[in-house]
Amino acid sequence: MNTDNTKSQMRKGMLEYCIMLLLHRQSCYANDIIQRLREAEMIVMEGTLYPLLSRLKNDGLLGYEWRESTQGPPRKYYTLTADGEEALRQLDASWEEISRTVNFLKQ
Amino acid sequence: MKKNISINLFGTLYNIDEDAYNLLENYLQSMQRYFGRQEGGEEVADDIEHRVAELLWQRREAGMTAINIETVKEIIDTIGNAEQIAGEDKQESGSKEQGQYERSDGQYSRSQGQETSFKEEFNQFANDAGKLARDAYDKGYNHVKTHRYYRCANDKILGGICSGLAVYTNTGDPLVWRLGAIALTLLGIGLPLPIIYIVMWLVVPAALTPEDRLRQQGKQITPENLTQQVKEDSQQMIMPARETHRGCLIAIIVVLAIIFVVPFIAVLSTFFKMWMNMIF
Repeated sequence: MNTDNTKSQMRKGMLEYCIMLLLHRQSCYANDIIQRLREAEMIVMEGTLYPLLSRLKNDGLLGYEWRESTQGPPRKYYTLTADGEEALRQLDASWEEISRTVNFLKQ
Repeated sequence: MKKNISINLFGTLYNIDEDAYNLLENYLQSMQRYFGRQEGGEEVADDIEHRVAELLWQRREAGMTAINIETVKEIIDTIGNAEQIAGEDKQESGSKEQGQYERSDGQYSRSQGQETSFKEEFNQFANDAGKLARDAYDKGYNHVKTHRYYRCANDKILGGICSGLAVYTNTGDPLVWRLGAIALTLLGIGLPLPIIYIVMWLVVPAALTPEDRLRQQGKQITPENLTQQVKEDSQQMIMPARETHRGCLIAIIVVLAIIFVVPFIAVLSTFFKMWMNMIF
């Protein structure tokens, strides 16, 4: 059985949640997000990130502001909106459920 | 030694090799065109441009003075693989293939039935023939649906009609089409060919952008394919071209000249001969 597809589906579902998780603590711009995901050993292609961020923003879960930088081009800092916080709580709950199920079945 | 130009990315100047610049420009433009079609897509393209600027900045901080083509390729590799979209496409076509396989499997087991009478055999034969024709039709239909015919702006002797046909039909070498067309014309069978050629030259668009070249080969326009195509183009030194119809006009004049002037001269010379005969 080829597990590649299942794995990529899993990652796709997780990515949104992970991004919201890390924006919950502090506002980040794309490079921060990429660095943090890399630290967390989450494999992600950069190209997939931008459409995702843009979608979350259009759904009203994320907001952003431009900040000038002395270290290169201006940066777009994303933050979680109130709606985003609410969505994150729901995702948290659903993640708890999933991990409980998986842990239970693994025993 | 390479020609070097300087570009301004969000207020910072960078020195970049000319070929590297072409690749980068092509890449950013194709991303803009691709995402520009989607809602809110301009923003994504803009984000990507910012990311490119940032990666270039990081490399400059690390001591790189001029951007070369390898660096640009590296950056495209980091950003460009939109695995997600390509992954979904792959999944769909995979399941389709499986369905087809199962169907042909069923037919196989049917033909294995023992002691087929002549009628059954004939039916089987008719079925097979029908299936063959249907398959050929499906294949042709699919081909027409996925491929678009363009003239090859980058591989042409006159208008790129023949090389375009070679790419469209996936028959590889345009030389065969070229020699064929010339041979048919000279043999007299294909006398209208030059006219058809010119009409096609006028009517059929040239493949100018990487997207055109993807459609020409029947590939889907995904960021991944685009990136691949942009890189291939830069390897083959294909520049984004503008279309001019100057060559076509010259060809029309030449053909008109042949059609009208040659008979005219022939008539003139006959008259001249008659006139000479009358005098002497």
